[in-house]
Amino acid sequence: MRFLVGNYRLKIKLFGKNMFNKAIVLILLIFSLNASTATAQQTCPGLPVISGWKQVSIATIDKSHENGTIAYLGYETEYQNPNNTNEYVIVAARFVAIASLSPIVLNYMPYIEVVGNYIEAEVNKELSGLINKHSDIFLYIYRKIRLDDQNGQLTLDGPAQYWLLGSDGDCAYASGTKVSIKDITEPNKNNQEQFIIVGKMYSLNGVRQVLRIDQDYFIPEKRK
Amino acid sequence: MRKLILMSAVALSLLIPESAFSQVRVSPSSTNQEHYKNFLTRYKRLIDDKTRNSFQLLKTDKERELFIDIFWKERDTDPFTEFNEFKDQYDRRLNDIEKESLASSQDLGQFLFKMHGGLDGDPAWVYLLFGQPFIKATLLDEGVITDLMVWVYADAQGGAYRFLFYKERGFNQFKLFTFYGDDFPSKLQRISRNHLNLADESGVNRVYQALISSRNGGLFLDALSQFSTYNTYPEKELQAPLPAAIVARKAGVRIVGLPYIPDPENYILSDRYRSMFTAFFRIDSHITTRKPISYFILRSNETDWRIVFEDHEKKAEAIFKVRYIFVSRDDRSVYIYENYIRCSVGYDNLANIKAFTVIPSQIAWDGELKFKGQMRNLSELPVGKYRVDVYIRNLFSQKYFSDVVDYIRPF
Repeated sequence: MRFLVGNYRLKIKLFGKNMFNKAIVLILLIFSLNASTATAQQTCPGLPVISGWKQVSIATIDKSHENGTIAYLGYETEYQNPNNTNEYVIVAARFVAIASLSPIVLNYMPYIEVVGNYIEAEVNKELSGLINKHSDIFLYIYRKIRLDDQNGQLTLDGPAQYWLLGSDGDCAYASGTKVSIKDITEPNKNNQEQFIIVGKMYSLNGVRQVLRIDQDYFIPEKRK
Repeated sequence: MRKLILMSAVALSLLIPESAFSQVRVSPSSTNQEHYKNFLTRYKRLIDDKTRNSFQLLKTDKERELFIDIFWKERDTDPFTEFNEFKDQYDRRLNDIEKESLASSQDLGQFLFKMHGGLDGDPAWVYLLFGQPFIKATLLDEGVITDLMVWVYADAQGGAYRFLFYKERGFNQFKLFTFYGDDFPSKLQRISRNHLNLADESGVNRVYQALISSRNGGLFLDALSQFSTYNTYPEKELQAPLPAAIVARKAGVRIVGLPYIPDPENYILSDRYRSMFTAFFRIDSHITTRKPISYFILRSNETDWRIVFEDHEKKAEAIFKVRYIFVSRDDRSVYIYENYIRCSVGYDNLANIKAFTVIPSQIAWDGELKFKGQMRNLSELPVGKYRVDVYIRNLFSQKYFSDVVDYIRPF
């Protein structure tokens, strides 16, 4: 990827925690730099075309916190080729990360368990909006399956193929090499002995896509 | 998904013209009179005075039907299904009471709701709210102790609720025991079959001994000592339950992080990506000073801008929250840099700019240091090997870039 920066000057203003009541103006040096990405751009063959394919499942990519908060980072959908039912494509997309906080429990609250149902309804409504308007696909996984004659189990028919869009805009493609998927943790800013899961990292051949929630959404601030 | 109608019965009554309140109460039309009377009678335990008054002020059957519809919808405990689980359960329990479902219970010795106040009695009210007891027992004809009955329920957390019923002297109906604020001798006095003077210690002791030596004595002793594991009182647990929808509202659906742009006309929103922006991110060390240098190169057409006027000039600005968390590979020490960085450019120049650079290593945080290990500058980072979690988010649209890298701050 090439970043072309023309002759311009940008004023970079700094704001402290109380935004807009203090500013330090820094003048950014003029750039005439053509920068290329640190990672070598991978060759991406054509992405699988899945229009007309049948959606067989959808699930959110989410992480639960011990205080009852659930962070929603994205979703995965699986499609099946109606013309060849042995072909599947999993599509993973990310959206703006949101957190559903645990309900405020009052001292006396009958039917507290039903709160979960209503919260779920509200969250589903928001997720639907995010999926439709604020999401980007970053991963395709194509696979073909067959029935193993020997043991009667379903097994891969040829290597699975992966396309991963990285956080830096690069794309990686691999056949047979799996995308690595890991949970990512951060130390709790208020209690640094505790590491909390804040997202997921997908990586393939040096290209990374990181889905992350801001821990400030669900960790209450505590003074030092 | 069922659509929730959260209008409360009180709110509905506000639709009625004020003059209606001064009118004589109008009886329901004769065609549905029984139906509406039934509603008020069968479900009276759920209908407080305010709700009842509101209902009786309604003039038309259409209004009454809407009222009843909303009444049940607010109490539906699972809006995802076509059924109203709360109403169904309540109706089943009403049916159990009318059909005397506990009559054949061996633990209760032919207990009949109708002998104890029917739907108006305390046992019926407990049954309607809690259903079949997990444990039930009676203590009948036990000499110095009046007839007792206990129903025990447990919740999902393992907490217990013990509804103790007793027959007051001179009455034959089981009444709910509610005197948990009394001291123990006073409680014993209440359940004694004969009048008992508290000063009569031996009399009080006889009641106590009779209780603990009776069949299920321990169970009754527990029920007399404490109503629930949570130190609540029966009156509280038997209040008409709040509608599920109101419970949910009180608990609060709280979702954070949603994108919210109040005035789209004053924003230039990127449509290249909808949840992210790509960035060329780098963290390295200065050749001579060895201090950390870090920057992001962002594309203008992937950035969401807000249009502002500053010094009479039209500008585009973007505000980012930036966070670096360094975790030492050696001893797991944590160092945090957080800042809010505003980028602005003349509006007329924006189209000419393909990319711009944000350099956090040159921008100090001048606010309060709130966390252990928080740094004002990246230059404060001690020498060592680190895993770095990087996060930068556009505060308008909530789109973000994130990465995890390794960094060595050299000597």
